Amino acid sequence: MKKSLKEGQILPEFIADSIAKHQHKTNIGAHQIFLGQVRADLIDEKEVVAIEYTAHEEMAEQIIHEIREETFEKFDLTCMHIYHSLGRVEKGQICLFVFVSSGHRRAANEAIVHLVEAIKERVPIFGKEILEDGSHVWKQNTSLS
Amino acid sequence: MDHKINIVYFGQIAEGTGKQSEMIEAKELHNKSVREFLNQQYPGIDQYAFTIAVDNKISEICDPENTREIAVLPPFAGG
Repeated sequence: MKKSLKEGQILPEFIADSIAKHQHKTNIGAHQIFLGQVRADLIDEKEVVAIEYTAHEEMAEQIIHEIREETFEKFDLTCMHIYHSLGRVEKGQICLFVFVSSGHRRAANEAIVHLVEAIKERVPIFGKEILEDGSHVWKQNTSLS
Repeated sequence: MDHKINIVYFGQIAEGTGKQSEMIEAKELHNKSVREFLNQQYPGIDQYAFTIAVDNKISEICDPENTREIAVLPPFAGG
């Protein structure tokens, strides 16, 4: 099974490489990419400087695998890549990279929305928001976040 | 030998219990739900939101003698 959880931030170079690797797959006509970035929220007037991610790794990989399979079944996709950070990711750095490709735009457009929502809702990943004074709060996903 | 179950805690729940995991005797879950057991061990834990996974499947139902792991999962925050 392909692993989706990666230690640390997802580097822009890694994303660029991923895009480059698809140039020989000439049946693809459309790519969609979603990037999640750590936002410097203000919580009680203190800035979030980083998020420390942990996960139930075995379960998270298994659920991401299930989400992949169901998304392939639902949409006419050529390929799909999902990466999520573990450990500390600083504000401004990328923590989620979802990449889908298809023959035509509609499948890729719809699949990316489905994937990102499913990942946020169903994958047991936990986020500790580290504030500028060293204290922390626990992040919780809602339908907006 | 008596069957043992590994309970794993994450995020703010691990912070509250002060541990990442612990082994318990399966018989501690006889005639008791996982939530009841947790409340007994950690009074006040029910103030926190959490989901339970039994052997990697989200479920409140656990057959203690055939369970390897129980995970106590706080709200998800991926992305």
